[in-house]
Amino acid sequence: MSLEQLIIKCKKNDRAAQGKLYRMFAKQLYSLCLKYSKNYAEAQDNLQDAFITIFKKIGQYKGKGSFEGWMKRIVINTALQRYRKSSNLDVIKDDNVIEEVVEVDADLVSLDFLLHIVQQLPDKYRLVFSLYVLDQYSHKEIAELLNISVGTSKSNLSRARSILKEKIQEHQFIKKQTP
Amino acid sequence: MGDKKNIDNFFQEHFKEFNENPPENAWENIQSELDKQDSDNKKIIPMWFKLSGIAASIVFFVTFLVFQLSSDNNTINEVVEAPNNIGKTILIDKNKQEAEVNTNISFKEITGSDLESSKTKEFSVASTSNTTPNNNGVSKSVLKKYNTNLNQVSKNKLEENSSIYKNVAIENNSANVAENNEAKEKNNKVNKVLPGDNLMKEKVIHEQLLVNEEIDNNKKTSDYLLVKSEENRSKEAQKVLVDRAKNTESEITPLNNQQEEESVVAMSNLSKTDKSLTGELTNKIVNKNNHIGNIKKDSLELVVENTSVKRDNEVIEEEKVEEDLPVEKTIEEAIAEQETEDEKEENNSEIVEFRKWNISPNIAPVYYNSLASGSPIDGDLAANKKKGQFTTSYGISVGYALNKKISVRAGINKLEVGYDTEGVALYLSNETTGVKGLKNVTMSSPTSSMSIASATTYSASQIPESFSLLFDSSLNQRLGYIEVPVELSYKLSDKKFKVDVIAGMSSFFLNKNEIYSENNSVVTYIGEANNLNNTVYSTNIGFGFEYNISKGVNFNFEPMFKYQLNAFSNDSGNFKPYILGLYTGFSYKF
Repeated sequence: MSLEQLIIKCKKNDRAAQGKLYRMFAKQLYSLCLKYSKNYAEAQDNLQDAFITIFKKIGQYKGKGSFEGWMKRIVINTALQRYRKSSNLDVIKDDNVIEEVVEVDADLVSLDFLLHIVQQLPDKYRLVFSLYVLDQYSHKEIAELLNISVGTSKSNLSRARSILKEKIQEHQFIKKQTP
Repeated sequence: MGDKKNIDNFFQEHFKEFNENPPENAWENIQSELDKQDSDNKKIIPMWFKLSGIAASIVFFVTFLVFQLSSDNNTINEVVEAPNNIGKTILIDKNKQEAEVNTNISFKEITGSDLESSKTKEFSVASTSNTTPNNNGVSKSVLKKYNTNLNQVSKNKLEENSSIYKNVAIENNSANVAENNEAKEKNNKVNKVLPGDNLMKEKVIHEQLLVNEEIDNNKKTSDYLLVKSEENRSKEAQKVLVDRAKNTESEITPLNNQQEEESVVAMSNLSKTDKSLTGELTNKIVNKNNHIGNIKKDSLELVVENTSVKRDNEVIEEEKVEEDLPVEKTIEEAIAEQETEDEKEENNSEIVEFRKWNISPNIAPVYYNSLASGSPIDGDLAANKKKGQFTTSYGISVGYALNKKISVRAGINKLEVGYDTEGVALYLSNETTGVKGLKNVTMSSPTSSMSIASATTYSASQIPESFSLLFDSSLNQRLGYIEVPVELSYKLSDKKFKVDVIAGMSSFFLNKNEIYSENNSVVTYIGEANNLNNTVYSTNIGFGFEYNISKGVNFNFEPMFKYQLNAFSNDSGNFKPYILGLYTGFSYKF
């Protein structure tokens, strides 16, 4: 069955088709959720909420643009929704954004570790970092999505980078110290 | 050793192939939530059923009353004319006549078996052999009585066999009655049982009010039952909804407590979980390192454990700071949710409070006239002066408030309207002059030789002198309707003194159709208009002023303008009737 046919069936609230669509994209979208959530449980909640929204609003998808992109936007929106109510954690008026460069030994840093430190970032830093670095959103888009200024977005990103850099360096240092 | 890398690129490279399977139970949770939402959606539909059910029940209730009222019209005083004395009027109290007549018709005690046996037999009414003018009234009342009895019988019959609509029509064969009182012929048509649903004769069809009543009543009964069952169903659905609302309400509080408790537990267990987390992490690192095989397993484990213990304290500190905020947040969110829930509850209770029925009996002086000149009686009279009549309307309406602002209502009113055409010449015709009748009037037989014309167009010279000429007469058209208004009102001001704007439509069912001539206060019945529609629709607009007297009781004053759309079937001569009424009454809310 093609994706188009599957979408048509999902629009008719066909539970089997919905299950198939879920299995098709769950892995990808769960990974997306993990990058925007502070832990696995929250990621699962976001995934579930996002899929419910997807099935509820699938009638609004008119075939313009990729379906995957449409779903991703819903997932990210669901994740962001959780933090929109809260006030800005950090408003740093420091526009002096410097490029963070880190000396890394690829063998010492795993993906799990990276995900862990991303999830441990304060909420706004994590969201800005994931949006900008991992999902290639612009600062302008981020500012609109999170209802913050472009300057805040930039400074949050900068703070996120430096925190991550410190953690990676610390991690590598520990690793190297252990013969 | 490592390379220097841009941190963004470093993360992008690593996350490029990032794919992780969601937990097994995620789909089950989604599925159960979808099922829940589906069932919620299904429960919303009966609310609409309920609303439409209410509207339908109002309409059926009102139409039921219409036919009840129209069958009770027998007690109106009739003006009956003497055939050879124009201008002489005789008022007959029909009630008295009925008392006399009862003896005559007692032999016609009609039972169900009689009705069955009369399936092929045509009734002839004995009392109609009387030829005196007075007896026209008598026979009429006899027949009306007869009709009522028969209706009753056929109603019973129909209740027994509700699946079959029986058209009952018995034609009066009496020539005298037919000749003397053609205008009231429909009263002589009594229901007769036919095997099929077809009416016996074509000419009977247009006057089959009684038969229609039977059918309508029957339909109504079945529809009423349907509506009733629909209502029951929606009531059940509502009950379920209310229960659900209660449940969610009771769920909210434990949930909050639970959340608070959880957060406390989470705080106390924070160090534990963090340790295990770091433990997991170190294990993973250990595995990785084992794989590489550069370092001895045992020593590494020990060292890593030690360092991780050192880090634990830092991590715990950090975690605490970070965890504090989300915990507060969730409590805040819960409070916000609680507040929104409370608001919803309040709204719901407000709606429940405003979902009130009200019943308002009303009485109104009504004025009937035309927006344009013209005459529905005869084109010749178009230019004559018309004078609208002030009459009264009375009735009752039932309203239902959909929300604070909008309410729907339906009702039933009985009204008689009329207008006078002035400047009319009346004279008796003979063979030489010919009869100059009225185009849209079926003349009653005693006045069939009377000519009527506009006094402005007819000159005295055209009329033989020997005949009594009654210039300066007027023609009075009197119409009676049962009105069923269905209206929507929108509240403009909601204080002790309320103002509404009202719009809607009415159906008028014709139940009186008479034309009189009037000269020097002598009123003569001359016939009935043959261009009137039995069902007339109007568009209504008006204002409602409501003054709150006490809890649940309001005084209403509603000036309404009703424009009839199709009062006359043809040749209405540009007569555009409207009704202006000042409806006054009290409304009781319950």
